[in-house]
Amino acid sequence: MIETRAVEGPAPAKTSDESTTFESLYRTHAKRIYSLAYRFAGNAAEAEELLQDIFLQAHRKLSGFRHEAALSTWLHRLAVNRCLDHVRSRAARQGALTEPLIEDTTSPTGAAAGPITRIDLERAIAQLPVGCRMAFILHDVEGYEHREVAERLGIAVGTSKSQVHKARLRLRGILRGRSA
Amino acid sequence: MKNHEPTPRTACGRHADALAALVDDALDPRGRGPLGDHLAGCAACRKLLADLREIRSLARALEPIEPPARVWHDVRRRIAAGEQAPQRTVGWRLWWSLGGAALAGAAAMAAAVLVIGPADFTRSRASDDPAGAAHRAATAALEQIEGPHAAAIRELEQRVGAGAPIPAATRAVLTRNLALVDDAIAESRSAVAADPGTAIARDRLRAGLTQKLALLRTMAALELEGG
Repeated sequence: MIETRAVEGPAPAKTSDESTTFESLYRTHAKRIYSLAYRFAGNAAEAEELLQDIFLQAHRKLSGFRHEAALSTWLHRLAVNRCLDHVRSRAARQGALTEPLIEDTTSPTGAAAGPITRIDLERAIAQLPVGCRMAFILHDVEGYEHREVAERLGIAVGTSKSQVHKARLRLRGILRGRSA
Repeated sequence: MKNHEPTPRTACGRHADALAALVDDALDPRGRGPLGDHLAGCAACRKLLADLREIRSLARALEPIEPPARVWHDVRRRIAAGEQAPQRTVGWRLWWSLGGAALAGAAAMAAAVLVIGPADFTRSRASDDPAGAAHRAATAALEQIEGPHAAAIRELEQRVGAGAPIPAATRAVLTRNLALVDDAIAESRSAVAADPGTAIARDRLRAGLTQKLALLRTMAALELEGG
């Protein structure tokens, strides 16, 4: 469940200074949302743009927040939707960008090159095709259930499972093909 | 909803669904027997299972990444700018929500504002705003957005092509992407020039320049690595 990994920080304390309150919201959640954006976008520049967009959107919509969900859940949902929009829009405009440039490294025939590091995995995730990357990030990194991933992506639960499995197989191929 | 896709094949092409479920600890007890029997005799599938579990476990343990401090400064600046002119983007936001968002071109966005949002458009500017002031505002907005990227893009454009040749297929993909990004930049630029106060067009232009920079850096890095 997403809640198991959500940073369920308290809603920022009410103060008379709205900007201080919003800054507190940003400080509490920016790191997690930036990580999500970075993994979806695959590069820091777009992740920064996304982070800005998400918090500007949150600032506009905060007055409509009804406390029906935890603030962190509301904000995270907003962030996931914005990231999905961005990736889909980019894929639609520049479909060629989704072509993996280092296709041959996905072959699982190479010898393992030592322990896999966080950086190795981050780089490998960035090389995944968009469809399975989104499912993998939501399920394996963010901790969503397949049912939730399917709902977010508009796909069947079985497709979510197969996309995540496909992503793991591709990651295995990329990671085994990496240079030592 | 799309139809269920078949689970990709695994090491020996057997028990793919069961293996995928086992990685998630979601395998039905009835499926464990046959898969267990298979794993006992198939080293390739045992290795695959161990690798996939390791990947899943590493993914769960990925640490959050710290965003650069400048992002908060930009957010604060943009919020402050919005608070001073809250009506500025209303027409745009309405059109944006009606118009299919990102798939539409920025040039079409500019045209739509002129067609469907004349009241907002007029209200967002001072009624006595002379053409000269509008031109200066457009120039300033473009300089503000393009300025930080201009030198780096110029330098990379000069460098790309001078290094080791990139494989033809890769170069074709990158060149095609670069042309698409250039088109998007040109459209966003027109939109910013038409209405410098429009946050969406400014964001699109900034994003286009960022993508161009990333592509040029990729090309330069590939040439540096000898293709």
